Amino acid sequence: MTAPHSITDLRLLRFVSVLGMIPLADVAEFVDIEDFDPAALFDAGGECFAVQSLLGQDVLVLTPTGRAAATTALTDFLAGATGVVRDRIPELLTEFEIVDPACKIAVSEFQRARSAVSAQAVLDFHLGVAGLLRGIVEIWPLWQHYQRMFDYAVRMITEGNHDYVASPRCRSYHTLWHAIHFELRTVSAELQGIGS
Amino acid sequence: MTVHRFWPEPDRTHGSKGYFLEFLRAAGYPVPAFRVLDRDGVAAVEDLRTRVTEFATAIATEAAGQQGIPSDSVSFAVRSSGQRSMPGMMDTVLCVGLTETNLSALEARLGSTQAAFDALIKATRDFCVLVGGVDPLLVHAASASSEDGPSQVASMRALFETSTGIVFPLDPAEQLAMAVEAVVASWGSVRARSYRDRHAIPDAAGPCVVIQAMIHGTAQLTSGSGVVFSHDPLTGERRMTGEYVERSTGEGIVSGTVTPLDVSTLQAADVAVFAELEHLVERLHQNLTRMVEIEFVVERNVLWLVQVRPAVGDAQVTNAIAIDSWRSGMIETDEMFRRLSADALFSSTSARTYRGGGRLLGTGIPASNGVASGIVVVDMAEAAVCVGEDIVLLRETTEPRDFPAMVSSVALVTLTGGASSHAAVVARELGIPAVVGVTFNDLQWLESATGARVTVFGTTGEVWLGDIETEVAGTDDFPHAILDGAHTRTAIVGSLREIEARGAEILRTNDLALGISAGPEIVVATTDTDLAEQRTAVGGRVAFLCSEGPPMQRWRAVLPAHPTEYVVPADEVQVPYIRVRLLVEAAHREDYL
Repeated sequence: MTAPHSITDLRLLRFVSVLGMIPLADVAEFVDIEDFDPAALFDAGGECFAVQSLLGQDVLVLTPTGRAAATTALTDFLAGATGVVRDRIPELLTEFEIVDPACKIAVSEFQRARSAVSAQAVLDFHLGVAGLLRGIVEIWPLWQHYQRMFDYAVRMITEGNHDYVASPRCRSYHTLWHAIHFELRTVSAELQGIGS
Repeated sequence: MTVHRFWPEPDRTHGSKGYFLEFLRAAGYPVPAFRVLDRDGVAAVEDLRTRVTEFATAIATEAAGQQGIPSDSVSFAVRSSGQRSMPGMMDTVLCVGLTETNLSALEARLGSTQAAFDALIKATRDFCVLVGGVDPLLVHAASASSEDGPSQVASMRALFETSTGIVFPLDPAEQLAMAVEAVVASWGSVRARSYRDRHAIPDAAGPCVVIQAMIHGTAQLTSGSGVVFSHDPLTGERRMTGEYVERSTGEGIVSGTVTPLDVSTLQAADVAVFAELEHLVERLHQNLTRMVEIEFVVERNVLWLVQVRPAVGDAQVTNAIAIDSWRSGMIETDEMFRRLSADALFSSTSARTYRGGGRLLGTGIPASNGVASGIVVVDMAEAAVCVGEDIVLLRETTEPRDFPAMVSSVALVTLTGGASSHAAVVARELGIPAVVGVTFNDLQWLESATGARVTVFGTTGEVWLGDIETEVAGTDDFPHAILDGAHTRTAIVGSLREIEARGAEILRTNDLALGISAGPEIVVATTDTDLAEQRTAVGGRVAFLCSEGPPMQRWRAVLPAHPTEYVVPADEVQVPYIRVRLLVEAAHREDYL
């Protein structure tokens, strides 16, 4: 991954910085390039490396250089953000945190019952917040891939694959929810720092 | 055999403790004389003195006849009796009504001048602290600064009067009325309110009060008190287990302020009393068909049961006891299934309960079951260098990026967050114990926690220093005998072809409208629980196609809420679980074949 970074590179760096690691096998799907060769990531930039996780998967993690690049991506974004965007992000965080407890309750209820009914309750919750999520992911190009991942998780749950409710082993609804929440909080905190 | 439904109906007459005492008395168990002051009686403050005077006279007369003791040696234990038991949460006042005028009779009864005077000292101390609300440290100081027994009593009474502005009552009925009011008032204590919050007990219900003739476990010969269970509460194994303290009144065990010995020490002191206790415990279990907890007192080689209450184990313990009761012929097959938790029956058992040793570091919200010991790490970098070690991840809170460390951990501990927090949800998915929102007792320890070895009890919400001895519950072997001859209306078939072989026409669909409108002779095969439930509700034929269970629980299957004509497992390993689920649900519907 050599400079200058493409949007795809930056999305990947940012996403790995939020999740800590992602399976190497998912990288090609993530960057949305057919026949993508993950080895290309390690050629020159030194920002990522592959290790085998305790789950037995080959995963991609960031080097300190990679983490710095992910932070720089955020700084660059904020430097170029309009006043409207800077005002809107804290509002989105507030709106998100209003519905956050309901998400946690729905997921916890699902874990207790592990039934189609309790999985449906998570889908029902999503229906109510889909507009909010869309508003969030559209505000920064580096977040736009979340839309596709949320859609995929919802589709999997609808089709009866309940791992996509809460399992940390896949990009489940719960994982994505916390990831985008973390991003919102990080950016809002950074904005407050800029403003002060 | 008489089988009693275990939980009393909520009423204003007895409360839970009073209900079981009435049961013990009616069934001929050795219970000290008692009366129950119902909630109306508790509320009628103007009549309280009159009522308790009547009760005191009746109990003293009855106890004298029952125990062969002088009636003026009788004092009283005053306990709350709520609709649900709150062990250790409400105040109990002992030896109420005891004054110098009773001492010679009590001395003759107990066989010891010292024991009689000790009872008076205890009566005075309890009255000062629990009824007068006097600071226990001041009471202790007043008592300790006195040279002899009479001076101790006099000092404590003087302290009571200066602290409360009330003359220390020497009339037994007046003491009793004040003790009743104090016990009722303890319903509003912080610890009692907190317990009710945690256990969803309504605040408004209020307690009844049990007034019972005092049995003195401090007497001469074999005397003491203890608490026993009909089963091992950690494993469900049917054997009397419990604790005993010689020369004690028992409240220390209940409140956890004394260190008791195993109940087998009673056997060494008096074989006959121990054998009688074992016999009564087994008889109680057979009467009530559940695990029971019994508080007993021995006074001069005579055994008395002063309280009995239902003992609640976790789902695996409840399963073990239900199956054992069924095997013993105490309960019918349908009742056994009604008591079973199918999920707990198939979940692998794991060590999960504190057994002894160590130092309690902190407590929090039990978020994910199980017990694990490991080395504390607080971040990813530390986790990375602990390859091959069992690590316990300790964080303020967790985020998705902590997942690599979380998946490497044997347990999670967080300082903030609740049962729905990220750490809690992920721990449950990973199947590792977690305690969240932990308050540590020693903040200095917390600051240098890295590298310390701890044990995390995800079921009880405790974090202990070091490797703690634990107890493994239940049996890992599935009790196949419970399925012998048990049938439900649902047929479990290996594939749709088996249904077709029976001549049925099959429509495979998840389309709600199509599935419901299909002809009555058609078997609709679906993975959709809603469709299955709605078609079944209108009498339609359904074959429910199960999805595979999650990787760690391949035996689990999601089933519709109402039984379908057929169930087709996705995996053969699901068949026993599906059978038990169907039988449990049929038993609850009283639709058991």
